[in-house]
Amino acid sequence: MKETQPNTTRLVPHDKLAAITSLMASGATFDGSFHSQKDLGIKIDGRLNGNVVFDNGGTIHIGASGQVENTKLEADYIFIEGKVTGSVIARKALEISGTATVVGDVTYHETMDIHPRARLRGKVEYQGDLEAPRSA
Amino acid sequence: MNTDTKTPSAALGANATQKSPDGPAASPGQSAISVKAGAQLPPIASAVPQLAAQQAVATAAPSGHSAIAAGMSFQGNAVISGGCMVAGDYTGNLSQAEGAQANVTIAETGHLRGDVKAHQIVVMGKTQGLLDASAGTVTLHETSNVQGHVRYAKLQVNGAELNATLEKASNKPTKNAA
Repeated sequence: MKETQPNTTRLVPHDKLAAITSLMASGATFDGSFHSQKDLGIKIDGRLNGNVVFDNGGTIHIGASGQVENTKLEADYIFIEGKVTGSVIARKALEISGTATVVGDVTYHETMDIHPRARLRGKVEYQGDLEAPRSA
Repeated sequence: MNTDTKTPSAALGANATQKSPDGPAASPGQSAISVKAGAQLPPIASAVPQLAAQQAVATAAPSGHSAIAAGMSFQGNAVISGGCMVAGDYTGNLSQAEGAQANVTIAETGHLRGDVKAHQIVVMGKTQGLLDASAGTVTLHETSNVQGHVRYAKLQVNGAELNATLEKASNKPTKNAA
């Protein structure tokens, strides 16, 4: 397997991460849910006890210091580097890095990438069409 | 030369859909393993990459500052220790951590329903509820629309739509909580 540079993603497009406009700083604790109908992005470096749901599009980046509990993360692109307890639904790409811990079920509709050092405790399910042809 | 060349690395490493019998070309960087016909495959130690824990992706993020962008809505309570910029919809309480001095800015597109307790509060949007900056400054700008109650040590109003009761916080540390 090709070893990529340490500070870049392998699957989630970097321009999606760069377009993130909402942020939860590492000292913050949010007890509640985020919701948006627009194609926006959020980066979570703090503690979140609640859901993050994007109805259309959406990019969720859980940073290495991020801790999300009792959650349902739902977006097109999800990049997890921190700790997530709850369910994860990625409609386009899901990437779980080597610093991540995910306790709960993970669902993806198109592509996923899990680093060998990621810690996963739950199901990983492809929700797309099993018979669909794979793009080259 | 073995005719029965097994290249399990091709199946594991490369993402080609067709299985190529001539292995070495299919997976660059992985050495082909040739096994005598009928013999057991040797343990493939090289196939599992020994990657160190990946370093976190460094995307530019000002430390200590949270932001809720326009179009994003949050429902619930939050405790911050740095700053927070609300440009979206915020329903709930926003307070600062013990001992922290937080700056809260409600941007023009921001709409906050609930109580804010911070060191400094700047309002350019809409708030409904309590704005408590008992130790600091509350600044209301022209585009702001404030309803409820404002508690401040210093207040600056630059022409706001103000429909709130104003209270200058007392400096006495042992004031009975209102």
